[in-house]
This record gives sequence, C-alpha cells and structure tokens, in this order.
Amino acid sequence: MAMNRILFWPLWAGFWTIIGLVNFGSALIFMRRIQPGIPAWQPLVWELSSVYVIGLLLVPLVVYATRHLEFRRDRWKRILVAHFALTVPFSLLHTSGMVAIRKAVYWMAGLSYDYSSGNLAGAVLYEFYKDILSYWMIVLIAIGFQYYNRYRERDRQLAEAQLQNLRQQLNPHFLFNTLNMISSKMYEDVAQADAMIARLSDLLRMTLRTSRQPEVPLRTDLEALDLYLEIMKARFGDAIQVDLNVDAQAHEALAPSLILQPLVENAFRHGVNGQAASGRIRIRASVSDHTLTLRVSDNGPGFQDSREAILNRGFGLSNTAARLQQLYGNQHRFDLNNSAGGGAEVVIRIPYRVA
Amino acid sequence: MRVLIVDDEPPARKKLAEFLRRERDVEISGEAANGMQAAELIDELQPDVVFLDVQMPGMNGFEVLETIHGRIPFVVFVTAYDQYAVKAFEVHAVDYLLKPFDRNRLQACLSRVRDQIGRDSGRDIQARMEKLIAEATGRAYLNRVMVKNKGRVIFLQVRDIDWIKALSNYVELHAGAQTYLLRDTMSSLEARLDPAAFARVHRSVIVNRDRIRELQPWSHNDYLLIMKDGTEIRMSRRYHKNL
Repeated sequence: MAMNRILFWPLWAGFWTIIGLVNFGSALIFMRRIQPGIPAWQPLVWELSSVYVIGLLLVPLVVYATRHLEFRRDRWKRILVAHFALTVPFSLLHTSGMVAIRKAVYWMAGLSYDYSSGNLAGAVLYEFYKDILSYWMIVLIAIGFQYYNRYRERDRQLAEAQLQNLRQQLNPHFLFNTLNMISSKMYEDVAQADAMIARLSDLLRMTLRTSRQPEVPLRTDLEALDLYLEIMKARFGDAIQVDLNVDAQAHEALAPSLILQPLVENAFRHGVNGQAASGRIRIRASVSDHTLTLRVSDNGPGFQDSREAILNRGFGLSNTAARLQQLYGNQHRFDLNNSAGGGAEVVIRIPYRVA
Repeated sequence: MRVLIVDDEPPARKKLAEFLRRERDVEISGEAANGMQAAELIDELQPDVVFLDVQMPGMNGFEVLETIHGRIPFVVFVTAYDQYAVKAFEVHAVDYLLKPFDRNRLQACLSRVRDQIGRDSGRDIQARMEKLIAEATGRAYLNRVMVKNKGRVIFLQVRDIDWIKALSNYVELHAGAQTYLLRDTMSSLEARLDPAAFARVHRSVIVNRDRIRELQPWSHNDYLLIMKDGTEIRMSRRYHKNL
C-alpha cells in the first residue's frame, strides 16, 4: 500500500504525458498542413501544458468536488446545477493555467506567445466548449470509482461480519474448556468421554451450519441448546438448575439459529455470582399476537451497566443484537431487563412465522 | 511444595489433582471452586503454589490476587483461551498452563516452578505479579480487600472504608459501624490506595476524603478533622499538603 502511494504520482504524471504525446501527434500533423515551417516543440508545449493543467491540478480538484457533491435522490437537481456552475471556473483555470505555462516556455526560448490573436472572448469560449466535455468525463469516472470503492468496502465488511459471527458462536473458551472436561473424563469414564465428544461434534456441526442457514425452527435450536446444556452439566455438575418452558406452538416457529445458546451462556457467566450452588436459569418461549417471545433469565446480580455499555463490550449479547437487526430490522425487540426478584432477563420478540 | 487448586469446574480440578498427586514433592493442601473461596484459602493455607483458573464468574483469577494483595503466593495461571491474558503472562514472565494439557506439559511447568521457587527471593515475583494484576484488572489501585470478622470472611469494597488506623503489625479499617483488622503496614497500604480518594493525615491515620465533614484549626498549626459520622481525627502539620 505504501509503495502504491509513492508510485502513484509519477505514474499519474506519466499517464498524462502519454495523453499529451498522442494529442501532440495529431496537432503536429494538423499544424504542418496549415503552417509548414512550425517547429515541432511548439505544438508539443501546447498539448502538454493543456493536459498537465487538467491532469495534475484540475482532476484532483474535480474528484474532491465530486466526493462532496454526492448525487442523492433528494437533492440531485441542486448537485447537477452545482456541477454546471463549476464548469466555468474549471475552464477558466484550465485556460489561464495552460496559457501561463506556454508564455513561460516561449519566454525562455526568447519568443513571445500570442494565445488569442486579439479575440480573447472567442478563444475562451472555444476552450469552454471543449472543457464541458472534459469536466463531465472526469466527474463520471470519479463517480464510477466511488461506487467501486464502496462496493469493495461493503464486501469486506460483510466478510468480516460473517467471520466474527462464526468466531462468536464457536466461543473458543467454551471449546477448550469442554475439551479439558473431556480429557478429565477420559481417566475415569471412557464411555462418557466418548459421549461428550459426540455431543460437542453435533454442536460444532450446528454452529458451522448457521452461516448457511440463518433461520431454523425453534425445535432445532432447542436441540442444540440441549447439547450445550448437557456439556455444561458435565462441566459444572448439577450446581446450576435450568428450567425450560416452551409453548407447543413455539416449537415450529422460525428463529435465528443458535439464538438461545449465547443468551444461556451469558446467564451462566454473569448470572452465577461466584456461589455456583444457587444458580438458576429460566428459558421460556411463547407465541402471542403473531410474535415469538424468547426469554432467558437468571437469579444473579442483574445487569450492572447501561444497555449501550453492555452491547459495546462486544460479547455474545452484542452479536445477538447485530444478528437480530440484520435479520429483522425494526421488526424485532431486544430488551435487557433486571427482573423484580433480582437477576438479569433478556427478552427477544420477533415476528411469528412457520417454516 | 504445598499446592492450592482453583477452578470452577469440578472435572478440571479433578484432573489437575490427579496429575499433581503423582508428583512426589507435591502436597495438595486444598481446592477452591470460586474466586472468593480461593482468596480465603490462600490466606488461610498460605500455599507455596496456586494453580489459578483465570475465568471464573463473580471474581476472576486476577481479582482474587488483587484482593489478597501483598501476600501473593507463587501462581500458575490456568486458562482455556485468553489471548490478552496469555500475552500479559509472557510479558511479565509469569507461568501459565493452557487447557487442556497433558501430563508432560504439567511436569514441564512444575519443573519451572521448582526452579523459580528455589531461586527467587519472592520479591521479584511479587513485583511482577503486582504489575500484571494492575494491568489485567485495569485498576492501578486497590478495589476490595479481604478481611475477617468474627471468623467470617468479608470482601470489603475499598470505597466503603471511612478511615484507617495503624496498630503495630495491623491496620484497623473503619467502615460504617464496623471495624476490621487487616495484616498490613500503613505505608504499603497507602501506596495501594488511590490518592484521589484517600489521604494520609497522620503518621497512623489515613482518611477517605469523601467522609470528611469539616476541618477545624487546632493548636500548633495542627488541624482537627471532623468526619461525617462525627469521629474526630487529629491531623499533623507535616501532612497538611495531602488535603
């Protein structure tokens, strides 16, 4: 990237030199026909002075202006007028810039340069008509690049979001602690260790499927949760009690895949205040008014920080918030409450749909 | 060496205990299932080495050590996955074990521990640990202390302390109607308290700035501090600049 930046301006100047040389060829042929003795350097100076002023001075200015005059549905007329107004200073700068260069070069050669042959207005108008075309070419190319960059940026962000999503769900903490539990079980009960490897594998398979299949029937998600809880039970014993209460209607409802596990994980992590013996997690799923409501609560100390602070921390809950936003836009609610009896409660409300 | 095992997962404790039991020179003096229990047992058993799980609900491994500040034993951190913590362990040259580990890993770790315990006077380890804890908890100053009251262990928030009085080898912490004894010296405690919240006003007194109600002139340019609960504390001249 640094190399590109260093190389950019020499390459850019080279590009405009080539354009200038091409123009020079045609100008020389044309001039030799009407003024046979003209030295070749004179048309060369004309053409190069013109393209350098455009390429090195005006193109950066127009690109800058285009970036600030973005066409949007609500103001495209004003932007169009602004661009037309800008063609005037564009052309004046172009003409005066190239004339100044030509006069300077001629002066160095001991000659004098006459630009307008006595008709300045006519000469300026002549350049102006040509410059309208140059100006709009630059604007269109600049807009093209803007869209290209934005498209690439969006692609990059999407890929990053997917990666993050996967990383969040494949919580490495959970994974390695589970492997540690299995490695401990192996010494006492090989069959149980084996069973745990199977559970973990099922869970990993479900996690990997999530990126392809954003929504699944809640029934499927509950199966994944069951695997998760079984593993947690093996890790922590029966210290934590989990109550599951799911309406019959809710089983077939579509929900984001693996939506419950991070919430339960969060309850495990924060809801149990060091005295694991009394931990209790409640999970409830219900349907009413075309809405599926998922509720996960614990009996820990409750949320200590503001919703913003919690969601900015980048743990499981912020990932959940982002996924819900992505899937349902403003058709969902995601609430973090402290319940009356103490403890944290996370409530998700999404439209009730069946596969 | 006498070892304490701290982990909130029973199978993890079991595995570590099983491996350690096979080592001739290791004696397991206790197991703790959460941070508070860990702080209590470290204080009570004074083990030579603590195998300390980093991620625990309520009070994590670093907070345990923060609480027992000043009497930190040799610690081997145990963690499943924690990029930042592992980086900090490397930076401060502190021992750690990644879960899951096999017996070879543990033995390699133990031989490093034996090496260091034999060589270091403890002062060096202590300094490294203090730096690590401050970095890991994001707090440069003490946040809570573990104190005992009528046989019960209490984790006292430092901001709840009104004032502190020195008593030979102990300090007396006054918090509301309660007083607690802490085995520590005035200067070492002062160094770990946030100077924006606490001020030394006498050779043997530190006060919580928030609890001062008024300042009354006293004889010989001394002052009398009146605390919000009515307690009167003499402030000596040489500490004037602290308030």
